[in-house]
Amino acid sequence: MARVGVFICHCGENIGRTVDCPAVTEAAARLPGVVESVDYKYMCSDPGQQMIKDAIKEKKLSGVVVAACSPRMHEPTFRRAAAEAGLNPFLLEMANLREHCSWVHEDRGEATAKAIDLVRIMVEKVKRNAKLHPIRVPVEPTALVIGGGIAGIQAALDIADGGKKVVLVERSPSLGGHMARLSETFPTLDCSQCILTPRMVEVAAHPNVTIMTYAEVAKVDGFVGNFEVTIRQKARYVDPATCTGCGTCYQKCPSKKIPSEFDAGLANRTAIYTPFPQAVPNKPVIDAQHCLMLTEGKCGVCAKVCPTGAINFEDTDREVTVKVGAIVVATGFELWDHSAYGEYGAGKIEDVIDGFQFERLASAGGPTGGEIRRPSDGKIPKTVVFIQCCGSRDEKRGVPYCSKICCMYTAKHAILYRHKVHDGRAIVFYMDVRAGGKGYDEFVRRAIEADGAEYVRGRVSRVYRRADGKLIVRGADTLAGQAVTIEADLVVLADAIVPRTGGNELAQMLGIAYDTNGFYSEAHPKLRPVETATAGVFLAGACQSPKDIPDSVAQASAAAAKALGLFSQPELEREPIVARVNEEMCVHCRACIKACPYGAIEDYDIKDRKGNVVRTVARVNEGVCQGCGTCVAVCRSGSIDLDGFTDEQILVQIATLE
Amino acid sequence: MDVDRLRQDAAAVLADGRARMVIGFRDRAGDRVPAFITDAEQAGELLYDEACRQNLAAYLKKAELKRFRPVAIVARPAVMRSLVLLAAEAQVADEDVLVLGVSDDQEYHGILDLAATAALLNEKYAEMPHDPDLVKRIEEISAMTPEERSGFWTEQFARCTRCYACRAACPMCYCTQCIVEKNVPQWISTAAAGHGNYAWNIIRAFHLAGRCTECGACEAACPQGIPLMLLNVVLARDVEEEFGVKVGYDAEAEPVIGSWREDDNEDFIR
Amino acid sequence: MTQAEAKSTESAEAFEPRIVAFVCNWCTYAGADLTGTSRIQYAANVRIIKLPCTGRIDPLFILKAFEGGADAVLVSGCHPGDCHYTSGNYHARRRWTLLRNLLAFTGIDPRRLFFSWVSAAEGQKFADLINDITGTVRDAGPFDPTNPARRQPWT
Repeated sequence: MARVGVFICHCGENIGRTVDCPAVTEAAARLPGVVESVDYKYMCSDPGQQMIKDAIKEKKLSGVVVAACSPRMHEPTFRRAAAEAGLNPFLLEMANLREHCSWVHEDRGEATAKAIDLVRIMVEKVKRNAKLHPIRVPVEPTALVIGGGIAGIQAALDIADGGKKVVLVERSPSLGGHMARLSETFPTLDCSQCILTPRMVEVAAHPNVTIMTYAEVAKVDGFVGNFEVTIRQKARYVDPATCTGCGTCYQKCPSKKIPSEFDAGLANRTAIYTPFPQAVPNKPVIDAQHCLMLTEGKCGVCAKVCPTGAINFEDTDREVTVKVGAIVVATGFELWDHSAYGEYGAGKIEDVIDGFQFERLASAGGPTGGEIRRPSDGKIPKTVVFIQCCGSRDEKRGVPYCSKICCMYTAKHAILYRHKVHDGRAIVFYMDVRAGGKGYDEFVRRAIEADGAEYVRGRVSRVYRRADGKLIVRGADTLAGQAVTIEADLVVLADAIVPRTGGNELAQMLGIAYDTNGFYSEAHPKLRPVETATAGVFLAGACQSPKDIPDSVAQASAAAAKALGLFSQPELEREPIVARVNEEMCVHCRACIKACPYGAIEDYDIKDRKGNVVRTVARVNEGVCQGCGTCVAVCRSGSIDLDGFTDEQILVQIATLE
Repeated sequence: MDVDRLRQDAAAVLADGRARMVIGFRDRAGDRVPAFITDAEQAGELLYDEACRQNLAAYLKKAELKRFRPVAIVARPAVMRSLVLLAAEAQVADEDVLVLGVSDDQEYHGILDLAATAALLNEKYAEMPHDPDLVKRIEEISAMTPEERSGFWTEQFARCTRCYACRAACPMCYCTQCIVEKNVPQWISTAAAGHGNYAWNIIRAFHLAGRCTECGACEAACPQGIPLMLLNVVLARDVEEEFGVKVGYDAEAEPVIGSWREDDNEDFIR
Repeated sequence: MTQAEAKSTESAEAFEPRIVAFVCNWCTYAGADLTGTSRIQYAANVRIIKLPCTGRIDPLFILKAFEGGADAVLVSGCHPGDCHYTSGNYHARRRWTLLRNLLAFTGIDPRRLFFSWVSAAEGQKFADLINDITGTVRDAGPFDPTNPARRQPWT
């Protein structure tokens, strides 16, 4: 027999002013199964909570209804109090007399009548509540970090320093990402490699980190705390355990004309290669598409010269499965393809380059040794035009958003250029200068005031090459209100930042959402910026939105903190609002399996003692189920129910309102 | 209709073991009743004509017939669609069923497996219009005032004796325990009157939304002559017009209720 | 409520509609909370039944509410794209499309069955919605006691 206690809160005057609390208390006392009904000024106060606790013990309550504010406000408070008094917290319900009643109705009679209804339906519901117990799922204290750029490196290091294992997967042959390709970084002009490469070495040497380069995530199964991830290790054709990284192989490789991805096509590499001298791991891979041995079956020079016999042309892709508890996605960005802009030469004019190409020209380790020489003839350009917002903020042909970092790197490019070519002109076309960030506006001012960059507010309408080789840049100076024509030697386009290709497939594997632009969606734009809608999957860096290095690093550390937080307990505790299948009744029509937004329902074979499949039914994986109840409503036979919101609990509320 | 070929094929599939039972029609004192044939020599009993309206796919849900699988079923297009849907809902596997196909105008299609059945449906029966008489009746009822409509249905549903013959006749009503029999909590009053009858008939129709192939077996089975097909066709029309789905043509199809599209209509939602 | 009381509330002059609202926890319930914290007043005719998600709402809940004599039913959840569970509201939307037409066809006036998206930020919208529904149903009058969907005194 139910023994329900009803506790009516006046909330000072907030409820009491409009709702006749003593009348509600009296009405509640007359409801069947109610053995205690009291009202009090502030139920959430210590004495209020104590009243509830005492009544639970003294009256041996089997259920409690607190009629007060919204459960969104104080349900955790009262459930904790109930638990402290020895009552299962899920045997407590709240009736919302404040937000849903006293604050929205003036008529005392109407409000009181409604308050009584709200208490009645909760009394009837709580009588049908079951004791629920938090679901505990074990946590595998290992993180998978996808992406070996600065965000991934930072997340991996933070998690590893926190004492947990990390598997860091990078799809290119080396860690480092885009940051390794930069010359200097804004706003301090630190040399990018000088600050990055120690981190690369550190993460590679860390005892808690397993690095897998030249590898990709192929499949993700499982759920928070218990992911099972299949990683495809692409064939390297070089045994990293035997290779000493001496470099003889790529010095002798005859296929020397392959455009270097690292140098943005401004230099060539060999078929067996390391992307750059500071690569981590500093072990070459063979690019199977260009290797003469692998394509035509002749050559094999590298194998002949390798002093340790590390070359293995028989190598194949392998799949490795790892168990991890959390996943940090740090897949980064790439540049928008400006060939959509025919007026800027559609990517066909050699001396119209993108930001990365300029970085490589300015870099001491780049193809020109750090001298700014234009690609077509190697001459030092005397006039360089930088065009910002190339593709950004262009809904029709480019992307609708601001790429955020281009104002800053363009200012940096202008400064670097002026430092290297003292008699050169750096002309920047911009729409607005967006320099929000520590030391950022000062940096842009420095470019203009100290380093003499010429900023022109306006759009460039056309870039073309004149017969004498000059690049003619036609545009508008919207501040002066006049057309401008500039004879330039080099044009640098600040291409929009876009997500990595293949990002959508990865999102589908991980069950995370992405926005219309392809950037991964955070769980909440303000309050949960590194979580995704899938528990245990976190975001870091430019895969979530365009970001500069400091923001990427900050988010990576935040994601690492989230992962470490997850790992700080051996088991996860989840609200036990999950669906349950009555396997006796289930006819396995699979509607629930197909409807579940989380893929939490699976086929389950019921077997006899000999192991023969007798019947197949649906079964909910309670670690994955989030408790929406969509499956319950698609089940025609009523074979699934949702703990906490059972059919019985809902139907009785409807019936109570008759 | 070439009944001889039907009989030959039935005998052949039983003789060579492709099927352990043929479910078709036979004559019993002028009525067309189901025939359950396990012996090739009995295939001569089989008949087929316009009077054969029962949806024999409904026998697939009978537990006592499971041991006779693979079963060959005499099926007209609406019944073939039921079979394809049953496959989509994991109730039959490809190897469980053969179809002895007949068209609505008495043409014999031969022996088909489920894949061939779906192919035939898509090729020859992609456009199966709703029964024009029903559509006309639906228009008439839709034009009534809400009061007249509720009056009409009050009369119709009042006759329901809750015999559940409609359910038994339908191949898609295969739940081992129907929602109407669920009693903790009781969803639908089992008293053969009033709101219980309304709820039963509405929920029966709704549970077939996106699953009804308009074979007409339920209405034909109703001893009280309740026009159940009006409800089924209202839903089938909506499924087609709102979601662009005609069901029973694709064994891989997502369930209509249980899937969604971002651009599903929401004009009625404020 | 005794039958005599029911009769008097259902007489034309004193008719106050009884509205049952099925709302999701994350958007509309929170939106109604915001209506409260903003102290926006609305008609006291609605009783909210909270569910985790509109995806949880079985068509039978709606039938049951009408069966018990509700004069109107409101179903409300997160806007498309905002579902806390990513797609529960899309599933719900499909069911409502079909159910609404089926109920209209069998004599439940569509002016008694309302669907809306109310986000956690739309406190004003929630108040306007309830006032509007209450007004509409007040004009339409009580749900016909002889409607086949309604529980009859003798059953």
